[in-house]
Formats: sequence, C-alpha cells, structure tokens
Amino acid sequence: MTASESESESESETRMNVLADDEYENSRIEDFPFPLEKASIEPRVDVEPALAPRSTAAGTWGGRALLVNHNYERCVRIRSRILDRDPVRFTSLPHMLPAQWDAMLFLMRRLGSEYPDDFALTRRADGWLWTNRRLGLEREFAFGDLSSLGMEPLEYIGRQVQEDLLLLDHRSARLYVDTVLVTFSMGWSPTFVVGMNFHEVHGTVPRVMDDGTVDRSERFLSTMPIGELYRRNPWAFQIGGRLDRSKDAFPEWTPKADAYLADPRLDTVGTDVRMRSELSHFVRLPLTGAVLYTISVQSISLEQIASVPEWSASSMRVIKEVPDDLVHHKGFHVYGPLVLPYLERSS
Amino acid sequence: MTRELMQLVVDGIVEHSAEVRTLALVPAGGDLPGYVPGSNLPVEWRTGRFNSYSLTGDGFEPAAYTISVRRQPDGDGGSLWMHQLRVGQTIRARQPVSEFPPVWSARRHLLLAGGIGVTPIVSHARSHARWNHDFEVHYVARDHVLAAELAAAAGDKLHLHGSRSDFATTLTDLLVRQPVGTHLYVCGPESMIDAVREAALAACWPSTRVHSEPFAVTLAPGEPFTVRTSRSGRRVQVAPDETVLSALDAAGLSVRSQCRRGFCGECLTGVVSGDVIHRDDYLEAADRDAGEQMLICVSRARGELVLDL
Ligand code: FES
Repeated sequence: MTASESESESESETRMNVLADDEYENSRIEDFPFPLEKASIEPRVDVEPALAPRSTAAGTWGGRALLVNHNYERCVRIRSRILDRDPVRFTSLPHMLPAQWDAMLFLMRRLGSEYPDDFALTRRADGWLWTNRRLGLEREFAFGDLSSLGMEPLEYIGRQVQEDLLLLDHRSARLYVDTVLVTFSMGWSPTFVVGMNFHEVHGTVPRVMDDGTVDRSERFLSTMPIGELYRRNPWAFQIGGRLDRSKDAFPEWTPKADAYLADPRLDTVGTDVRMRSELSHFVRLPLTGAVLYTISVQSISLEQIASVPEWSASSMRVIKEVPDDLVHHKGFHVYGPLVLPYLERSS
Repeated sequence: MTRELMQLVVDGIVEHSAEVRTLALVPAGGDLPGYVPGSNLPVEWRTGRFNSYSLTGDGFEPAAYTISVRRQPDGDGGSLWMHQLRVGQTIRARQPVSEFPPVWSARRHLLLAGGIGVTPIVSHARSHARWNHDFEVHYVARDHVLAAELAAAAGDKLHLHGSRSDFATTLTDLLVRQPVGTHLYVCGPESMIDAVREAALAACWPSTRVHSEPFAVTLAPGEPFTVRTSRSGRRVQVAPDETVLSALDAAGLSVRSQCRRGFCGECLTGVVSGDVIHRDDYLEAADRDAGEQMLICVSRARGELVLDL
C-alpha cells in the first residue's frame, strides 16, 4: 500500500464516520414508501386514509400504520440514548397525562395486531400485560398507575417504537402541540414547539400560511372521526443516515454535513445521498379525542432510486419543476446539483 | 364513511320512572370500543334511521354501553322504540361520536345538567373522578333520575336543584366564584342552555370557556338522492349514509379520491345539473355558488344530480 493510498484510506474513514454516527440502514425498495408516485411538490392537504396498500414501481407499502423493520433495535437504541442524554426531547404538559395513556394503549394494540409475532397486549384481571419479544420485555401495568410503568406512558412506549410521537390537544377551536417525544426530527426543534398552536408551528413553511392550507389541515385533524387513521408522506434529501437532524442537535451534525456539501465525493454520491421519507400517521384517540401524530423515518440511497427508472424520472422532474419559493424550503438549492447529475448519468 | 354497524345486545334495563329507562348494551361479539367522555351512540331504531343517545360511562374499556332514554311520545318514534326493547334483544349502532368532550387542560370543570340532559354530564363526572380533576356538578330536575350514579362519581361535589328558578339564584353566585381557567359544560333544555350562556356572559366569562353545543362537523347522513353520469349513462342511488363517491364505487364506477373528507380536492367532479348541497372544506364560496363543480366524497344533492362522468 502506498503512502498516498493509505492517506486517502484514512480520509475516507473520517468520511465514513461522518456518515456513520447515529445511522440507520436504508430501506428495501420493495416496501419503501416512495413519495413521488404522484409527482406534486405543492404543500397542501396531502392526506389520505391509512392502511390501504399502495403499489409503486418497485413494490408495495402502506398496509400497516407502524414500522418495525430491520432498523427497529437500532432506532430504539439511538432514541433511548438521546432521551437519556437530553431528557427534554420528551416533553409533555401536565394535562396530557390521560392522552398519554390513551396513546400508549393505542400503540400497543396496533403493534400487537400488526406484528403479532413480536408484540402482544393482554388483558389481566386487574390490568394489562405488555409483551415485546423484539426487546425481550414483559410488563404488567394498571391503566392510570404511573408507578406500574416507572415512567410516563408516552415515554414508555416511545422507547419501543421507531416512530417519533406527538400529541395535539384541541381547545378554543385550535390544536396545540402539547406533548412531544421527538428524537429524529428534520431541521426543526421539537422542544421549541411544545404548547404552540398549529399556526405557530407552521410559521416557517412558505405558502402554507397564506393559502389557508394550515387552517384546512388543522380543521381536518380536529374533525377526524375518532379512531380513523390517516397518513401523509413528506420527504426530503439528506446526506447519510443520521436520524437526529433536529435544531437541538445542529452543532453536532451541520458542520459535517456542510463540509461534505462543500466537497462532495462524486464517486460515492450514489450511496451518500439519500431520500428520506417521513411517513406520518394521525388518529384521534378513542378515550380523549387528542390527536396522535406519528412520524417514521426511512430512507433509500440515490443508487436505489436510480435502480427504478420511474423513480429516477419523477425525482428529476420534481427537482426541475419545483416553484422558486419552495426551492430553499426543500433544500433543492443544495441537493439539486448533487442529485440531478447523478440520476441523469445513471439513467 | 359507511363503517360497519355494531351489533349490541340489551343486557340489562333499569326503569327509573315511567318516563326514563337505562339500557346496558353489550357487544354481540368482541370488545366494545372506548370513547371520549360526553360521546353519543347513534342507535338504529328503524332501517337507516338513527337516534343518538349520550353514553354515561367514562369511556374507558367499557364492558357495556349504558344510555338513558326519556320517552318522547311526540318525537319521531325512536324513543318509544327504545322503550319497548326487552333484555336479550339485538340492536344495531354506529361507533360512538364525540361532540361534547371535556377540555383536558381546564383547571376546573363546572358541570350543569338539566333534566335528561344529565346523561353526558354523568359521563364527564365519571371521567373527572377517574383522573382526579377538580370539578363540581349541579343537577336541575324535578325527579333526579341519575342522582345515584352522579353521587357515586362526584360525592359531595354534587348539588341537586329541584327547579330552574331555584337554580337561577345559585347560578350567578356560582359563576362569579369560579377560579380563572374553569370551563363550564351545560346540557339540558335549550332554554336552560341560553340562560346559562347569558348569565356567563354577564359574569364576563369568555365564550370559549362555555360548552354546550357540538363543535365538530361530522358527516351526518342526508336524504337519499339519485346520481346520473352524463358520459357513461349510469344511474346510481345514494342512500342516506352513503356518499356519491362510495355509491359510485359500489356500482363499479371508480373516481379519483384521496382524503375522502372534503379537504384535498382530489375528487372534484363537474356538475351538469342538479341542486348541490356543498359540505366540503375546499371550494371557495364563489365556486360553490357557480354550482359547476362539487367534491363528491362529502357533498350531496336534492333530487337528481347529473355528473360529468
Ligand atoms: S377525496 Fe379529498 S376532497 Fe374528496
């Protein structure tokens, strides 16, 4: 091995580290919720009833509301580490305790029915038994009794799902984000939004404030029939597989991302740059009427996109056709110059 | 929106008086869904006709749904039907609907019930007792049929009043001595609700702290009507609890849709003729008036509707 080779070796190792901290693995294209089947980038009420399987050019997704895949153990480990280090990532206003119990039971029931081999919620004479075989957990608890969980209910279940969780309370004709358990957000600060109403939270998204989309979304969420699940699938490009891209963690990761962007490796762009889906589900909970909002993060690499000609074509079209005022919001001013040439080259 | 109806069996009946009876309904199979306190249960008393009755439990893991029904001889017949039910009979109902929920962030809850309007108040009181909330109940009626149920939940926080005039003197005093952050819930005859609202206004209560009416827009069933498709020449009936979209779907005519709740605009369809009842949250007022388009996942029509399909 020559000196220059070993140097580039160690250089690529640091690059690997840049991309490896807190990473999760890419999804398989067969069940990736590719967001651009209907190519439209306008922020609008882009919701649909959940649980209906959707076919894509590469497979199907959407038959379940919760994600438990090959990243499960890794995701819950990363989340627990973040929560231990930075406990405010789980923040809940006191009046949300009933809604937390409501959400926990809802999530446990869904896990049990969607992944019966891995999870089970069983009625006991004076309470419940929760079984999580993936993590080897068994817990008897009584509804409403905090000591039987050892922590607040949303944190208890939040440490056992891949999803970020939010609870919205409806009062004075507005929805308020009163509980967050968010460790994997993309460029926003979960701790900052607690107690804000829906309008304040969306204040930074261009267009949506002026054209009434936020109002409509808020009305949609607050009038959903109890128990009916809906979903939407926002997405973005990102470098590497780091999950926690919150404002709270900016100092940890933005310098590395900036360094990469300043000097991208054209030979590895195909694996370095990923499309990140933030498939979100929402439901009004049965016992309190609070809105539970879940976000599950998945990604595929540009290489994987390029392997499906239809996906490659619609990705390129969306980047080229995005309206000017949304270019920055979607980060296309940064990612466009990386993604377009790569996809063009490989198509 | 057409969800499957639940099959419920009448498991117990308590006759409180000649007028009011309480029914306990258990599932014909499986578990009963929980519900938000103050929810009501739409019961089918004649094919396609539903009357809603407040559920009186706290909504958590109900073993039975309990409703209390006052006989209304001059009503549409639903309450009389409820009064002739016997133990063991099976009835059909929709999922509970939440239109009178508690405000979870309230510092204190002031519950006011008049007559048979007591039923959702019992539900609220039971929930507040479960969660250890600060609350107080006032129950105005000639015969306090659910006093025992309320007392079990509220204990000495329950106050009984024999008549409205009797309560009127208490009300003003009650309103001024509530701490800031109290929410008021009133259920009873319309005249009582009006009187309470007026008194609350006079006592400088913000109207957002006074709850009486359903706040949620639900997709209520409507009158049946007919749809004709001008291009494919089909004729389809839309039943009261169907939508145009679901009726077309059932007839094998598929139309693009997404949210199915009148928000996204995906199912926008051209109207050739017909008297449209718009129920969406998408079209501008001017578009509605023009009457040339409609969202067929929620909007309905009177008589015959001809669509550009
Ligand atoms: S399907 Fe969304 S408005 Fe009709």
